[in-house]
Amino acid sequence: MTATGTAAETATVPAGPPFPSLEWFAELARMMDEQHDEFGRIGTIDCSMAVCLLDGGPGGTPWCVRLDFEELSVRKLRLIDVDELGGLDFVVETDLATWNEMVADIVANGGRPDLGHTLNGLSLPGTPIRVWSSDPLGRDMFFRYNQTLQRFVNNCAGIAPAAARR
Amino acid sequence: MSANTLATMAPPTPEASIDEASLAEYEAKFRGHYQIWGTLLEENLERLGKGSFSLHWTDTSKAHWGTHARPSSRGLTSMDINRPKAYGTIPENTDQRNFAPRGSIREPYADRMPTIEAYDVLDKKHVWAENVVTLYEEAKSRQWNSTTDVPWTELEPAGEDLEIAACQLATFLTEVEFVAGDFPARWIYRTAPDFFEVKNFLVTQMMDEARHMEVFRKRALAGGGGLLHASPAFEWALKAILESPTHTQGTFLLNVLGEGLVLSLFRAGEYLAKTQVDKEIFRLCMQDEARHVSYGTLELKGFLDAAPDREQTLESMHRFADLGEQIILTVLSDPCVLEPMAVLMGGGIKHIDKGMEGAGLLWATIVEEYLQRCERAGFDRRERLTIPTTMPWVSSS
Repeated sequence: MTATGTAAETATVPAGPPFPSLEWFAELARMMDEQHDEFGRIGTIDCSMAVCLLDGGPGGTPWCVRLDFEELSVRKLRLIDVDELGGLDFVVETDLATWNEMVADIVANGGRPDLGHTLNGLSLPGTPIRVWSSDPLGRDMFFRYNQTLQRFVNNCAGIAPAAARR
Repeated sequence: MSANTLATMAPPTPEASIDEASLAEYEAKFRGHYQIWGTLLEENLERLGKGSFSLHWTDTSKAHWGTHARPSSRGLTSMDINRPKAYGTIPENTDQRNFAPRGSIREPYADRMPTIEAYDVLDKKHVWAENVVTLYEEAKSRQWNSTTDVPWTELEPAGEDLEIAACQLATFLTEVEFVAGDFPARWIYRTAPDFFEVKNFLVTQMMDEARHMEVFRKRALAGGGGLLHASPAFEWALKAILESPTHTQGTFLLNVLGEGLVLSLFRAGEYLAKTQVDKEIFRLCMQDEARHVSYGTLELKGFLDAAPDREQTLESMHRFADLGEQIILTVLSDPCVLEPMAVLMGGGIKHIDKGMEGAGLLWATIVEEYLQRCERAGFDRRERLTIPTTMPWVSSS
């Protein structure tokens, strides 16, 4: 698990990439590469997914990023349009406020969300996060790789804050 | 030493020994086959006695000498070794009822091979799923250890009624994991080795279920509450799975219907968890269960796609599902499952009514996801569904 700094420590760290941005997810991907041993203990992951923030784009428009996981890395990372989502294994869809709250909780708890802020916990009722797919087997990948995805997102605790400046 | 002690130490009487009868039966069986086995043995001993060598095994003319299996970035995977057609072509049907590996030189020895009567699953369509090889690799990669991967020292009591509910749920889940391990065991033994990929995957499923049984037993004991009530109604549902007449039918019951339901329960468990320990347990189990569901869905699809008379096969499967769906109904109406879920969802036994609303949502999710998976397999159950899509519960308060 990536250690997170105290408030005093993080104050001296250069500001991280803003959220939402490709760079923010690239930072998570970089951390995954640095933690191959830790991710390797959980197991390999092979899927194409997207995080889609329904109001994350300019003027409250959707903002979607595609992540292609392969083995123990993110092989491809790019912004995509909403009409490209259907071809992916699954989509994690929510709004900016929910995502920011989840990130804030993970950061506040040192990289381990409290009982109410895990990816599965937030998505089980279908709201505030909705996990969907055009293929039930694709959606099941969200569960097959859940431990890896949770750890991947938990690493946001290691990104210096910048979301507030957006 | 008293006379009584001596009597206790005496060997059992021959009549009491079933080992003797079993041994005699075994001897008779192999004496009957001794002609071929004995001839082979004599030939080998004679050669040794003459100081000569056979060296027939050095003849590679009928082998695939020079065919390289090349590793990919993650090592030499099962997908990599199946890439050469000589080794990776899965037969639609096999007559190989022995242990000779697919791809080996075995035809010249066919008439001297034993027949393993137990190997009676000889058609690919009865076991194969197009994702089975990748799921096997994934399963190996994502194994975990309930002894060390769960932060047991962080387990804290969350109120007695919640702990009772958690222990009851753990008891139910321990119960279910036995059949989930024993069903594949029953069919691994019967599946011909030409379909070894399936046997291998089912072994990982057995390992997963053993680990689940272990972790829920541990969970019940670690909190000090322990195991609570077994469920007779639920036991009948488990028996129906274990005694399914074919592998495909049983896999439909276990992997699509049963494990699909349990996958949703694990998701709900993670959602409901009152401690990080429970959250971790359910998250880890959820991953394993989702693999089993994926195999079951595509195994059913493969079976239906390969059916010579699809309509007739579909009708038979529908008849089977009419009965099988009662498993969902049995589990979801069983107080040993539903009520502890509702207590956990409501936040205590006083709020069980509130929890039942959450349980109702879970019920609808389980049935809908089951229908979606059936549809994905080419088996549309929406018009034939025999169970309610919403929970038949009316609050008395």
